[in-house]
Amino acid sequence: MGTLDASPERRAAGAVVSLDPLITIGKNEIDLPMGLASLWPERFEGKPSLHLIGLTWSGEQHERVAELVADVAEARSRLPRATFVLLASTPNEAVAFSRAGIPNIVANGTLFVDERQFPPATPSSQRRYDAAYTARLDPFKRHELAAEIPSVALVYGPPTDAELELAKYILPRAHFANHANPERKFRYFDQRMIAKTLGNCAVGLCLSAVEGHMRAAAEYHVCGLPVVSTHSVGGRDRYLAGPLSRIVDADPDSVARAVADLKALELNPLAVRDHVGALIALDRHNFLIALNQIVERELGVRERFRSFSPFLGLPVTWRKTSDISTDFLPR
Amino acid sequence: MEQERRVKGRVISIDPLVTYSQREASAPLGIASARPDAFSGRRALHLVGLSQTIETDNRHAKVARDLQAADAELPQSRFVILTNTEFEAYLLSTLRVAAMPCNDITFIDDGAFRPTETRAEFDAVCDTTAIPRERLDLARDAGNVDFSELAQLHGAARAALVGRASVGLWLGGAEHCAIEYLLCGLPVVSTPIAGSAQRYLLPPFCRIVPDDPAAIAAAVQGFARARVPKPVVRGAMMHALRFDRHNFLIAINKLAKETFGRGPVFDSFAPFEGGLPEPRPLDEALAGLAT
Repeated sequence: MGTLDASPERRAAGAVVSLDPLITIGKNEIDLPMGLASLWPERFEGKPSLHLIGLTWSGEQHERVAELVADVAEARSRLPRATFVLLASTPNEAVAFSRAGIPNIVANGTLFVDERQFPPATPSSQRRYDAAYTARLDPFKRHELAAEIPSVALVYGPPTDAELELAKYILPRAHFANHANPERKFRYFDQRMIAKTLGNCAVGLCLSAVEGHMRAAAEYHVCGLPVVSTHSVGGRDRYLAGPLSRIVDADPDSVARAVADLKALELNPLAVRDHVGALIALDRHNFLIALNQIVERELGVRERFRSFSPFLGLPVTWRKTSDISTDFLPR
Repeated sequence: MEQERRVKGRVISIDPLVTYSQREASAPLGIASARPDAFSGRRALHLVGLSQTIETDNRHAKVARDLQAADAELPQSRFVILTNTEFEAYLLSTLRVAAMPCNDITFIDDGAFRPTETRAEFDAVCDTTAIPRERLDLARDAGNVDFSELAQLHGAARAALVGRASVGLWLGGAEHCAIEYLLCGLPVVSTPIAGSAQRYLLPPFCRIVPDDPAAIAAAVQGFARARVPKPVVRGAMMHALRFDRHNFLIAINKLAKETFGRGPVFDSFAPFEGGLPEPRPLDEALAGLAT
């Protein structure tokens, strides 16, 4: 368990989605295992509350389940009137959590991506790059698997000098989008800039072996990019069903072939977005049904949520805790 | 007698040993609980679906007790409950029951229900099987409605009757009816009815309206005027089914890998297509399994 940083400037993934009854959504982070309930337990003392907790990493491994059992137990001990429900990204996580007695529902993180922030490219957009890879320049992201793709655009978080140097060595021909400015300095990309970069690319890449649901995969989908992924654990394969995606072996040639195949289809981004959008809509529909039933059972309020709007962009968006704090003000 | 007990289940794979059954009074955890001797000493994975909702009357607690007994009797077996709703899986998770949402409609024989070329004679078709009169009365203003007892019909005859309408009106009764309408290319109008079919009843080809004749009529007429091509409606339903089957396959292969240490065991959904046969003698359900 990490040391809690409760400063107002610190960022967290969480929000209050309902004041009455009191319901939050957040992420299981190292120092905030139960989201806002860990950050500000005093705000939830003495009253019933419900906390939906998403994961930042796959929960399928046995040791991870044991950690989550401990996290939930500790939180319940601190807040006996609170109900904690984990948001499993995969049915297998659901089985593992259920067996361990961790209340959960299947609600893959992709559900929560705010598609309004990621407009798809127009069908006539020029695809300057064969593929895009939105991923930290970290070894677990396996950038080397993109080595045989003729042109790749990389979007990433702030790298160390060593990480950047290694990535340039692995992919010497790649376009390092965050450094593509006159100063050649790292520039953070907001959602609009990510969408713009993705609009110049034909295919989205997912190359890690294990992680969480992978927010970037969701962004590819809503931007209308077909996806090439390696086999993985963590939940991104949930929406990789059908002809608009490929799941391949983890080798550069397989990845490059799949990218070429999908690029050759010249798919209409709007059609790709709609294809995945219908599946996300299905999952959101069932998330709401289940959540309303849980809220009725645990907090005694019927039909609390009539639409998915309160959840759009949450908890996949990190905000300053000073901003999150305003969620507790009456609306 | 044992041989006369009827169960709804089958052996999906013999090596490794995987079964798929439905929970019923005679077999609370499927065929493994009906004939534990057949599975004693063998590593096995048992998928158990639910024939009735467990959302009410604390029924999930009964599942937990039955599972506890089965675990004690068959320690080498692994049971996973396939729930029809997310909420059922949630309830079971509060009691340490290994469960995952997997609606039994996932296994429906989608080939048995297809759009016909028939010109629509009716605004809507409404299955009247086991539906109270007062429920059917809600459709009194819906226009030209074909009230038929669909349970009497099967296969092509059933699809042909459904195909004579523009809209499927589901006011209760057999939940698969709503899905059959969609697979036959009919958009569906319904009211808030709890149950497993809810999973697939969302826009744009489904409208859930209040229990009010005017609202039902407006929804039916709206869809009838829209004349949505049947292949488009069926296509949307198949998109959802393929999605659920895709994720079921991923899950079942991971469960098999965890249970047996090898995999993937299933390279397609084919072994699961069509779901479960009607209840049949236990010996028949266990056919192929050396005991």
